[in-house]
Amino acid sequence: MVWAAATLTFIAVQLSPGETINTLLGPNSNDPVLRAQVIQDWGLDHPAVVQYLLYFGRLLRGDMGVSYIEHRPVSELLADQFPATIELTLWAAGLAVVLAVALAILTSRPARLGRAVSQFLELAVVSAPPFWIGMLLLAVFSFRLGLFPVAGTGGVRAVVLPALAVGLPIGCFLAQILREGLDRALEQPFALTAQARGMGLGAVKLVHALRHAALPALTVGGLAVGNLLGGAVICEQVFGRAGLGQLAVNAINSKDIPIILAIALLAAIVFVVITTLLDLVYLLVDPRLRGQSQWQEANA
Amino acid sequence: MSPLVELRDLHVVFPRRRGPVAAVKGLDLTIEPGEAVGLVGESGSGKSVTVRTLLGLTGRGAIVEAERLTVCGQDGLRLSGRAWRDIRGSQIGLVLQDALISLDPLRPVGQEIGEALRLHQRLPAGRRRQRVIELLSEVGVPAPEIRARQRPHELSGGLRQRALIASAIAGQPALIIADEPTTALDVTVQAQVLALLDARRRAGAALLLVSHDLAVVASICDRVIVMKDGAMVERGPSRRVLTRPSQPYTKRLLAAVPSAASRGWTLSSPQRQPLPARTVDPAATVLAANGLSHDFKAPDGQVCHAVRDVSLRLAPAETLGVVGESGSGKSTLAKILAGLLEPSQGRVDLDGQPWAPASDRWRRSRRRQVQLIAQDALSSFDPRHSAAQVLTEALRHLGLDPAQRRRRIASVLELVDLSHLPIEASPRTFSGGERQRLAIARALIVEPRVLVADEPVSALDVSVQAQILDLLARVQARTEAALVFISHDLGVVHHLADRVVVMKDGRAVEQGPADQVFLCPSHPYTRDLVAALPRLPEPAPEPLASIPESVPAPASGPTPRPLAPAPAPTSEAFAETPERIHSHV
Amino acid sequence: MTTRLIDPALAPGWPGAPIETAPSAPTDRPADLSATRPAPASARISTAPGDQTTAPDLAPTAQQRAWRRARAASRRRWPLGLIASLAILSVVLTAAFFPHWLSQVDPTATDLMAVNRPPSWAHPAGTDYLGRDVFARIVYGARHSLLIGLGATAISALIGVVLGVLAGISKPWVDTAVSRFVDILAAFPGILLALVVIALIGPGLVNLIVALGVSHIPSYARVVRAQTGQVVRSDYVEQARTLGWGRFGLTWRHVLPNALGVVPVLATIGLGGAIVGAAALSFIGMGPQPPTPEWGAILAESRNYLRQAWWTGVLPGVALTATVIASTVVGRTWQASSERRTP
Repeated sequence: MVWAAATLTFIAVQLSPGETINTLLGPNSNDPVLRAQVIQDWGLDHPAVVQYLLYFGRLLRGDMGVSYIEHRPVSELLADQFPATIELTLWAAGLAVVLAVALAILTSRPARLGRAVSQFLELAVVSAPPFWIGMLLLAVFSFRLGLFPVAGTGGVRAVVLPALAVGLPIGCFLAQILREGLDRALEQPFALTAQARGMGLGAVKLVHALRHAALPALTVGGLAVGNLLGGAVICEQVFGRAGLGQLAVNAINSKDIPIILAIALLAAIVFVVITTLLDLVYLLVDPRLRGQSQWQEANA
Repeated sequence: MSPLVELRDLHVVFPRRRGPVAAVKGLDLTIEPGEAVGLVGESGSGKSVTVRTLLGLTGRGAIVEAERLTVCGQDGLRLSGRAWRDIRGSQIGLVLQDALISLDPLRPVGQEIGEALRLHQRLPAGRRRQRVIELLSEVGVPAPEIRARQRPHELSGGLRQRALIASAIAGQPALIIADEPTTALDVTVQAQVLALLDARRRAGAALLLVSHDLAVVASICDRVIVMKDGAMVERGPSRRVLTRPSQPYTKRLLAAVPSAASRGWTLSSPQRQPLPARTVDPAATVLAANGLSHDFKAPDGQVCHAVRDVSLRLAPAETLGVVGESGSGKSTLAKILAGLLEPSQGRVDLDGQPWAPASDRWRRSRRRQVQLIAQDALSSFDPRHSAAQVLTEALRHLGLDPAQRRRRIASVLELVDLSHLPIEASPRTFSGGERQRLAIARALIVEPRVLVADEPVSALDVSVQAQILDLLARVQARTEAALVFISHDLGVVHHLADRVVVMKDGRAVEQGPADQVFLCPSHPYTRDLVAALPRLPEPAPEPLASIPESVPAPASGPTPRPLAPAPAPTSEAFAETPERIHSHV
Repeated sequence: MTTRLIDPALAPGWPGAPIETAPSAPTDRPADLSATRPAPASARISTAPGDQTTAPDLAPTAQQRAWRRARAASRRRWPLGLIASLAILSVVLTAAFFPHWLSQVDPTATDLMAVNRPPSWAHPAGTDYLGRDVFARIVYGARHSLLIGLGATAISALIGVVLGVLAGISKPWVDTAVSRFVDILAAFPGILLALVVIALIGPGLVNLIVALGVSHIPSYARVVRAQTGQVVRSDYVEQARTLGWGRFGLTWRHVLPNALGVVPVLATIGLGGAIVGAAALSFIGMGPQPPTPEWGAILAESRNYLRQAWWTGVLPGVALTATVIASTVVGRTWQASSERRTP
């Protein structure tokens, strides 16, 4: 899977308009020394197959190339910025899951008024662009109330608002799916049997229905991971946080292609790792599939 | 002793967007301690809503009113949620239809039973585990220590139904409510589960058994209540109701049950009439299968033998019944015969020419000779097509001009009693019986030589089933098409089939004339099947006797919708039907 | 079982309800049941000898009580959400095609004498840091945002449908190849995939549309593939085969119409996502360049003036969010009704 993603990025570079070397070098393409170095690095004087093998061999060694603008290895640049993004996404993910479970349990049937209100708010939050939510949060909590710093990377307080901006939409999205799953599970005969045993509705939700509702939520988990990374990249801009987002935007503005490719590849790796983990969690939650798990190999 | 349950004039109404809908309309019901009461009715009769009301679980938005609703000595109309929870499980236990979905499929069955114990008895965890094992062995689950750790999908249908019963009786309730407890089960397992419920009753618990199946109720209940459209139609001791019913509806219901006694007679009216005669020439052959096998790879890589070495022969106008329990390979056989699945081994000949295996191109021009009638008629119609399109599509390859097509459609609709149908409407708006009629019409319209019907009446209520079975017998006599009738229901097959094939694990274990197979079976498996079949008490309602005072003729006739004005088919089309279909055969 | 349960015509005996004849209702209910006046329970129930029950004929009966409550509970409610959504969408469409109907002010005209003014009669949504009328910018911005959203949706739906149908009806190895390709595409988070595409082909309106379109292909392809596979294996396609239809006829008559029915619905819901994605990309400067009014770009420009002029940052966002909500609500309502029609 990761291999395929790497191949795809390689093909994309090959297919992009203009000569490959100009694409890779960006604005510095007139520097003859650099030119010669890039041709050597990427084997551009060889046929595409050789280029591909060279590129892949370097990837396997963890070498993602050199930024010809920053004049630093890409892997070094990534290593600098990655932790900040990870911090943000982890906070956001935790927030999203807690929010989703709480909302879904509280507003699944037979709740009435709270359900309608919550449904509307969720829809609004899911529909709003995350960066705008970030701006609103800034306007209210930083400028008006002065509770949180306006920008920066250090400390827990600095991560609260960005995490909210990224986590709220995903939490609301998951809440919609979880609640639908809860409603559906509560209509199943086993929920009736459990209630007929004398179990309260709340207990049925927690003990029985939540597990069933988690299954569809895990299936769309991959989508949520994508949103999480994408949201983090954008929201770093709003809050002026260091991270992959800053790196990516700067790279695009300066046409620093190797960095962009590396970031995309890294995101794909993270995505694949997390969806594989989610598949394992899925098996934990639903033991019915344990006997027949070959389909997972495709993701390995 | 006061009754466990006392209902007076129960009404349950569901608010709906198009106005309220009544599910139960004025039901009275009393259950004394230790007695077994049967609640019988077709779909929509309100029986399931009634039993849920007894548990305070009628459903979202349901409005429940009654003159009296006493459950275990308490007023059910005024009980708090907490008080209901104390009653559920400890005073009343509920057993639902299919344990695969009525027990939490994600949890081991032992945990489910343990949960019932935890809610009502203060037991230390170790003692509780022990009690779970005891309960499982009480309901006849072998190796209970192992089974307790398994999940419903890892248990066989019978075992998981027993586990479900164990969870319902864990709190030692005075009343067990069983809502269609055996409907999803094979007939041999059904007998065991019924025996288990009967044993609980003899141990002192009262039983409320809800079923659509009169014979199931008759087998263990003292009293029966027959419901229809939310109201009671008849009640009394089960023997009296099932042998000497006083209401026309009950009579019709009883007459509709197909069995050995009903062979050769119509089912859809209390006054039985002889079915039209067919002449079968046993020497002729229209479809012959030799040594059919079909294997496929299961997802886990194991090879599964769905059909093994099955041979059969079908004469024109003959009805061949194929019976077997779930997983016996009967549906796979149907698909091979219909030319939808290639056999791994063996061959099928149609009119002496190879039919399967064969290339699709070679088969295409003769496809219409063999037509399939599926269990779920609706899913066999393109959801975007109207009834007219469904029929027109079938005619596409016959090269008829529009006028001929219209005549052919009119005559086939006449044949299946659907002439009054709004033909431009979607089949979704039809009732279950009408949909199945339309499916039969589509099969007949291409004038096939062989009809393959795979469980065509299994999803239908017994009275609708009776109409469809009568219809099949009638059209078969008219068209002289041979019929392969596949069913899990021995009664239906015995009623309809000339010869029978009994299938088990992909093999045809016994084959022969219907009476011989069912009345003096030679294979032990067939003997088990026949013995396990629940029967209506003898004497069965006289199939031939016309009971003059009980025949309100128009209401109980075989036509499905006497309310609709009789259509005026063109006399030409009407006259044309039998001859034309004959002429092509 | 439940379909009969909710058939109103199965309840003939209740007071004041419209009496219709149900097509599926069996007609032989006992004669005493068809009385329109609620009779006491005992009168409607034929009992075995010795099993007689008595109920007093006093009003209100349980039946009357139940029906009174049920009628109150089943009052029909207006689909307010849907109506509001359609209204919002029509305003946005008007803004996109006839912006001058809504605002006569030039959205790019600057007025340095009136910068960062709060909302007033002259400027219903205030002015921004260059004194431009924010309301006019929102109105004129609708065209670009909607254009990008529609264009991207069209690209992803078209390619997604082709890939999905191809995978759904072809031999297993084609299916595997196409599905793998879609999986790989899906492994790149949408925004990042779009960023890569933009990095390779450069920013700008058309490139933004292409980039967004490519990044949304997987969701369409997957749904269409699943739908196609479902139809191919359905009972009615099998039935049509027994009638002698060939591969091409089956695909054309049954598979395509039934499998592609979901696409317009998906596209309506997806439009919202595409608009948000467009706004996000142009927020970080990858879209139309200033001073073009586009919702994401407007928000980007206002970011530095949030403290002084909140309206420049809040109101365009409200317009954007309302549009996305509206298209989602319309799409979901459509989806629900089409799901109800196909069992």
